[in-house]
Amino acid sequence: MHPRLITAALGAILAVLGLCMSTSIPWSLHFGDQAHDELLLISAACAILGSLAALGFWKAGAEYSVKDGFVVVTLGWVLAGLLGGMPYYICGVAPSFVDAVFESVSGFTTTGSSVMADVESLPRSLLFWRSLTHWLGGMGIIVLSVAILPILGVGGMAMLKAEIPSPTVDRLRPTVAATAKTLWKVYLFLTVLQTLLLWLAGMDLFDSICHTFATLATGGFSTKNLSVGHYNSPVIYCIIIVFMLLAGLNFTLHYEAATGKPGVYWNTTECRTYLLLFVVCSLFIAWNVYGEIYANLSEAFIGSAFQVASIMTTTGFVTNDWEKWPWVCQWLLLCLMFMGGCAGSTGGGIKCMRLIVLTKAVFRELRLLSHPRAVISLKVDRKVIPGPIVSGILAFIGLFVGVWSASVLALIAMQIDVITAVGAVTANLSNVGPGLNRVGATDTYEWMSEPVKWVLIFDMLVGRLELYTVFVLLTPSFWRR
Amino acid sequence: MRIIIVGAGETGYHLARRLSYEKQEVVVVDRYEERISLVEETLDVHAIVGRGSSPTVLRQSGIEGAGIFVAVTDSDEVNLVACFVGGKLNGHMKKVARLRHEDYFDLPEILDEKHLGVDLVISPEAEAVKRLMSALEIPGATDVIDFAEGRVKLVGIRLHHDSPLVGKTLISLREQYPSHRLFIPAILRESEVLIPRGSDVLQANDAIYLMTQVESLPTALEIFGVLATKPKKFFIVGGSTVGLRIAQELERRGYSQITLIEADPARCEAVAAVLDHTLVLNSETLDEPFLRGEGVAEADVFLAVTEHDEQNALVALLAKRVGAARVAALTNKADYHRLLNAVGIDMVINPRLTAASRILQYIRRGKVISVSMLPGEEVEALEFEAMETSRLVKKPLRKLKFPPGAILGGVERAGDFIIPDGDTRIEIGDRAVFFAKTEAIPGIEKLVTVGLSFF
Repeated sequence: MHPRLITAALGAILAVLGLCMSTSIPWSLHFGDQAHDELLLISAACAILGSLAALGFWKAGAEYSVKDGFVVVTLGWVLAGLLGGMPYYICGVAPSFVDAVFESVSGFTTTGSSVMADVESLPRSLLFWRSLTHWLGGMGIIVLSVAILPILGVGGMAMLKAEIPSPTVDRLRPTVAATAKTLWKVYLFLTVLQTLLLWLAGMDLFDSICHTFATLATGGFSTKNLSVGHYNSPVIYCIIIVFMLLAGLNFTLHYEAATGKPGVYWNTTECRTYLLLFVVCSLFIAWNVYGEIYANLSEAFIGSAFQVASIMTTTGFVTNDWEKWPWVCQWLLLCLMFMGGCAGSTGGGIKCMRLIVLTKAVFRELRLLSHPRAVISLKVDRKVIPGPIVSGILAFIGLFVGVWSASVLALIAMQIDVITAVGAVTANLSNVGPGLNRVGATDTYEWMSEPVKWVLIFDMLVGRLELYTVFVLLTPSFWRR
Repeated sequence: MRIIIVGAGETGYHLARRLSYEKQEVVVVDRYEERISLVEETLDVHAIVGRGSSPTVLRQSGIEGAGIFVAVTDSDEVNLVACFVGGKLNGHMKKVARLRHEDYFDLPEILDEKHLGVDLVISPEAEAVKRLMSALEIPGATDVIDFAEGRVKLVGIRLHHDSPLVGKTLISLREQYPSHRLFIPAILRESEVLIPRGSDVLQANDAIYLMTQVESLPTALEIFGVLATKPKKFFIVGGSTVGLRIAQELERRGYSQITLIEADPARCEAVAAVLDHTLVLNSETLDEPFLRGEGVAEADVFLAVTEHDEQNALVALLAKRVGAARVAALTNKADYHRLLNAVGIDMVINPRLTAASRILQYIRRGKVISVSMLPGEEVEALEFEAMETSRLVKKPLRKLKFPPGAILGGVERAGDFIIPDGDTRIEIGDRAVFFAKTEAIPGIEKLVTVGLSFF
């Protein structure tokens, strides 16, 4: 553990945060809202303090240890969450400190659950900052899945390795930094493309940018009170459906597809399973809601496809109030929340890959019952997943369920009704955003008490950091020399 | 012609023995003294102790005058280097190397003239599995050899004691089914291969070798009382190269009920990692309760292919007793091969036999199209194309003088299969298949190749 280096790294994160925040000042001036002074103050403070810390504590030639990595990632997200909430707090748009932090953590963890009921009344520059936190969070996740999670052996590269079908070496590129850069390029390219498409489809440029940020990070903040439903345009819905799905897939697949292997989407078990689930669930829900809720067939199809994509990629955009849908549809959406995106995507949740491994592990156990002496290797895409990784994945799922149960219990103890509690915890732990009942499609988290919000903030953070990154800091052996 | 054989293991030893019978000048090189003394004691060949890839040793073996160089040690790398070094010492000689690992075929150009200079690569395991697979495709077959690009097949079939053909002579068989064109050029009886005459009587437990055209195979099998059911349930004991290859081949052909049993846990993991839906079991004990428990009683095919010939034989017999329909055992020993047939093992997988066939075929290239050894290695099936200059052509067969222990097994002419009799004349371009005991082979070769009178 190197406290100096950790401080330097956190300082650098802070400085970058300040610089990024300053990009919302021009929007403030452009739209003539009143937030520019506050934004300038906060971003300047972050940039200056951060640079001082980074430069002051930096020691040339020093090397980060694995433990430093965990601390930097966890504290980095906490720090970003706390300081990213300052604009809402100081501008007075968030009623309390916890609300400001909730909104900001929800942004950086790409969750998208909000305490703001009337977002259209907020200064546009703050809306831009809100969406930008998503996008920055998404970039952070890419680094996380390339640099930190492989070490934990439960996600990221250790899993990517098992799931990339072509004979690619361990990573796309030989070093972590090069891999991250490659994936960032994919992310940037998709950002530009979606912004242009939305703009062409009739959204104004500001809203196009904000919605693109929220889509590709699988966040879900909108600049409209009715979320994407505001536009009531099938073209915009379809563009966003496609890009939500792209963001929910493994980003390395996009890179491989772009370098001349488009078959990779269908040849990868995880991606294939994911897309099939999308189609099947969309059709199932469309079949359930057609006639009773939507008289128009295409409306039923696009509505259900949009909501399924939005939930299973853990974006959380809303075009239809799913609380009006039959319970079976709502519960199906809740199940999809648990799964979340693919490994190596910006989506949250348990991840499709882990559930595939879990399913295969279950079938292996069943097969072992009838053939006790059988040796069955667990394979995905014809590649064996080594035993330690399998047990790491199973333990992850166990921990996920454990955190989920404890959080639901805490919420119920704090006088939240069961369905709301289940919906809220699932939606935040999986970084989706909207949940069920009182935190459903058209509701916000504003009405919840302060302790409940802190529990959900914790859920968003640990869910985003794939549990282990945070929980490893809570083990005594981590701090022992 | 001088032939140098590097490696006096099973393949090398028997190849040397085989070639020395044919009065070839054979030199055997091996690094182990005990193997070399065995060669010296039992065979009429020159034997040298030393590393086969050493230029000094190879010079000693008289490589400058050699025509063929065969590297068949257990190590792929030694074989390749030996061919390379041999090629440097004698550029005119043909080089044959045995390769076990298929990875080398990922980069085939390393074997070519400019690099290692290997003229023929043989991989005994791969070829044995290929021969087994073609036998598995024919119900009831114990062995299959293809001629004329597969248009004519030699199929081994075991006669059960309740077969209607037991007790009949070959002549009466042909009279009873005149339209079927059945011809039996060889019979494996007890542990001996006979080249039968028309008056020979079929006995129970004979494994007859039936020459037939592909088209008439189903009806022929019917006559022999073989039920044409497609096998479904496979068991493989032993996960070494051969076992794994068989499992992969079966998976590739779409069979789904495959069980592979292997004693070594680490090997099990490795095998399970490459196979898609084969059930891999880790078990050292292969007793009756275990086999029954895993369903061997309902097995259509049971293959014992561990690295221990003795264990293979016993496990296959046990499986047969438990109820497996067709059992096969792997052996590399010629004596065992004959014996296994005699004790009731339906199919024998003999990598050495197939490898030796390939090498012999290569050594005799230009004269023969294919060479296949029958079990026990005393009888070879030799396939020739009749040349204009051959003494064989355009004379009725009865006018030709066949060496004793040889028989013409069939003639393929423009897609038609002819069973030869005394009046048959062989035309130019015909494919002729002879069955000959070892001692008759030089005579057959003389018969079919360029007649002296031509010069």
